[in-house]
Amino acid sequence: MSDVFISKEGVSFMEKNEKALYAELDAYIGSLPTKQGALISVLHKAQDIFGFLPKEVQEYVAEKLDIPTSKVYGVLTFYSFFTMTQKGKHRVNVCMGTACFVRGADKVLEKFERDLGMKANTTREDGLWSLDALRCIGACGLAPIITVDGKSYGRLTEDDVTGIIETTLAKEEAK
Amino acid sequence: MEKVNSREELKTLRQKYKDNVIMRLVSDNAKDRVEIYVAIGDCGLKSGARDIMKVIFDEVNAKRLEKVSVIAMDCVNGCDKPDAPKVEGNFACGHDPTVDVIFPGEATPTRHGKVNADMAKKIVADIAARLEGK
Amino acid sequence: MHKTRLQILICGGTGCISSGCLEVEDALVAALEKHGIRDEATILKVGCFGFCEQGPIVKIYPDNTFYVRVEAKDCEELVAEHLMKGKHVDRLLFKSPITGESCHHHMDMAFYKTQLRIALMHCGMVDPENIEDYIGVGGYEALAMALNDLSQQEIIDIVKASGLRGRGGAGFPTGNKWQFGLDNKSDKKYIICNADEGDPGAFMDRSIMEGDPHAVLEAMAIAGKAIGADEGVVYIRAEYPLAVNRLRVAIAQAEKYGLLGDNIMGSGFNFHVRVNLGAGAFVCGEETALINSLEGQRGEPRLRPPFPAQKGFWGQPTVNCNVETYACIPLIITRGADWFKSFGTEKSPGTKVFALAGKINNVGLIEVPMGTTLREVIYEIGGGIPKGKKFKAVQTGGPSGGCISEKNLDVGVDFDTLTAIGSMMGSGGMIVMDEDDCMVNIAKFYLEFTVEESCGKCTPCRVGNTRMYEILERITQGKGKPEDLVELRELGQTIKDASLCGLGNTAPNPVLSTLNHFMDEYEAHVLHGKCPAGACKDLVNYVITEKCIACSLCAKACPVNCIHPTGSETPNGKKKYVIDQEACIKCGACIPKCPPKIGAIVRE
Repeated sequence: MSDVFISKEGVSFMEKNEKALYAELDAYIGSLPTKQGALISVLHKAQDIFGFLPKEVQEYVAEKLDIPTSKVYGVLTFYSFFTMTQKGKHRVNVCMGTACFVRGADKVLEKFERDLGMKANTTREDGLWSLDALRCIGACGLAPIITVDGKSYGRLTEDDVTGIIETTLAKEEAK
Repeated sequence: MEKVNSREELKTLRQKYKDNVIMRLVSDNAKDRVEIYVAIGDCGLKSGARDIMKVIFDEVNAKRLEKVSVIAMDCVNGCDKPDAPKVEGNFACGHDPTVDVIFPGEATPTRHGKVNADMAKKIVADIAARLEGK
Repeated sequence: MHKTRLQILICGGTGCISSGCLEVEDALVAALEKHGIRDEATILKVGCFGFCEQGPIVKIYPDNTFYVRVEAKDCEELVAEHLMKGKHVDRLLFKSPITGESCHHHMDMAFYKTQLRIALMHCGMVDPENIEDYIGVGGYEALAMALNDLSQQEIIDIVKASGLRGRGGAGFPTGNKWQFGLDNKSDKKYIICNADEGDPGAFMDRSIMEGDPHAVLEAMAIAGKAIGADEGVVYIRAEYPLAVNRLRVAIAQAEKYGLLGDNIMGSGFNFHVRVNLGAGAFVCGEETALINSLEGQRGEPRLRPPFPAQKGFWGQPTVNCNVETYACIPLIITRGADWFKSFGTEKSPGTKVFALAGKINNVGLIEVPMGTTLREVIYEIGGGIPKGKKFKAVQTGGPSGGCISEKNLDVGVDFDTLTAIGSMMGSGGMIVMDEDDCMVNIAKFYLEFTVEESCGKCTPCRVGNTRMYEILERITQGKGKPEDLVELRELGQTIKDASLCGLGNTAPNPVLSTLNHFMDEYEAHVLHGKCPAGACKDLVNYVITEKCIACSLCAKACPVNCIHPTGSETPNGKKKYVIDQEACIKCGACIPKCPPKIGAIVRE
């Protein structure tokens, strides 16, 4: 596992005890009325806790639910919500639903790719940025819309992109 | 929080919670309501129209006149709009607090000037009587 | 009676939250406190008002004033002027795009005038996090009727008589589905609510769950009584956190009041509802795939028969309906089948909610009687196309639907008419496209979606759609051949006929419908190597003409520095600029920078 693991709340993995994280997952699994059919719910919880689902977590879940690891892997790779790679410190999600697409979301996404020097649906090598193209987030009135670290920016044009990146980085420095 | 043990209890609760939503239900169907407008613009404010509005609102509430809405409005006589045409029954600023009452289907409101607390109560009582008469 | 003189409703749907309604709420409270009238107003965060384009929206009762695009900084003025002095804040009122006049009552707006709200009746009207509001507007009375007055068969007969058809896609008669659920005997049965709204550009179901969650829960309990089920599951997208939360709050409140849970309203009937999160797979909108996913499996569809009503969740009889379908049920029970049938068309009674989006002035959530024409929806409610552009197509049914051209705009929308013109109702996404949209590229966009979302279980869908996508990619790159168009049609038809589930059966629709209605665009790509809309990058070149005055604005805007002063000389001796076609990424950033009166850059 990587040293600079960042969970989705931005808490460094190293700051939290790994044992405590697994204990949290244990507690959740223990609270389930039945393990039958619970795999997807458990994966949701695990991703909540760890930020992503690396091999170790998959193996752990498989053991706890008494199912083969291959099944855990098969299910989690089927669903786009689950990820096996850690996300960057700042997460940019560009909505690529139809409404956003026809209003120019593809141009916004390309501008992010150029400005951040990375491809969509990847995390940059320095771990600072993740850039993902999302299916509809359902705020079509604000198309094209993106979210950066959970904050929404709507009715965008590609000209807004550089400013948004700067604002995000400035916030971090302010901290 | 009460547990609903029968259909009758649901009905009782509905009567109680209707109060939460009755303002929205009646306003969305504005054609059928009686509207009481109180002028609380600058002159109205100086003449104590806010207090009168409160008296009217409390009276409407006390009488549970569901289909009557109490609405604040701007100065009617246009002292801050010198070009406003003077219409019949329009008062000078000195006549505030001004209260307009309009029933469903009526084209023009009935206007009351220099409304004091007693008059306000009377206005609401008249509306209640007229609604009951219908 | 009234607790306060005023009720201020703030739209608290996902759309308005994104545009800042939470800040507006805080600012309003602060302004009310500052003016000493906090106790005169109740502030409520409600579900979607539908007019998302104009959000955040603030509605003031009993004044019936509808303020649009309200920002936190506007709240002080709103309180000081409107609430303190009775003056409308004109700049925050909606202005009619046609007359320019201010509208303060929403019912005077073209956007609302022709709408009829049944599924959305209480959405944006009740506080979704307070069950008291829902009870106050008559909520759970339909369930009380179902538990006290009606037999199982009588409930189903009412639903059958109403003619209600499933709002999730195919339009299967809901009453018949419930009948199968009742007729298949078992000790354990399930009710499922399909809230896995996967169509990109659709947000009907999300808005209903965010705005009126109890209507869905009440209907599920009624369905439970009708078929004899005691357990319900809402399968909802994990991407909808607000809807998930409001549903959970609603379930907890309903249980506290004894309106869900054991012995509901003392009737002896038990019904428990839980929320199950999806995990992002479009195919899970298909009911057998959804059931697999509920059981913790990969969301691959099952062969039918057996149908879910025979063998569904955990092998038990299961009735699964979509959110909007459920939302119609309580009113059908309390007001009767005839009331519902008085709206809409003969074969598609009632109303339909649409998420109107794309190149349209009034983006939003609308509900109209079935049979309303597309022209009415687009030009009256939707307010037409922005920037004076020309309408090209409207896409309904998401990745399963098709594109409808100008010549079919006067078709009244219902399940059957849309199918007849090569599209489908789907769940109700409606995306409007204008002259700048390339229909080949749009078809490719949808197919890319289906290729990615195909579960891979059956070959026609897994391989066939991929092959179609490759052909479309070739065409948009200018490498298409005339035979490709024939191939697309044949392949599309085969995939439709041979796929296992609804996803594959409908996946070629966007391609086939554009082939039918926009053949000229395909031909332009294939025969002439041109993209008429200028959207396909490989077929477009940006060129600086002789009009260039060498101002260098375009060169400064170019993100890849491919514009250089290497051309002929201007009258005052400067070198005109030239775009290096090899390096150009065709982003089009240079065009708006060229001063309009010069207009030297053209797309060809």
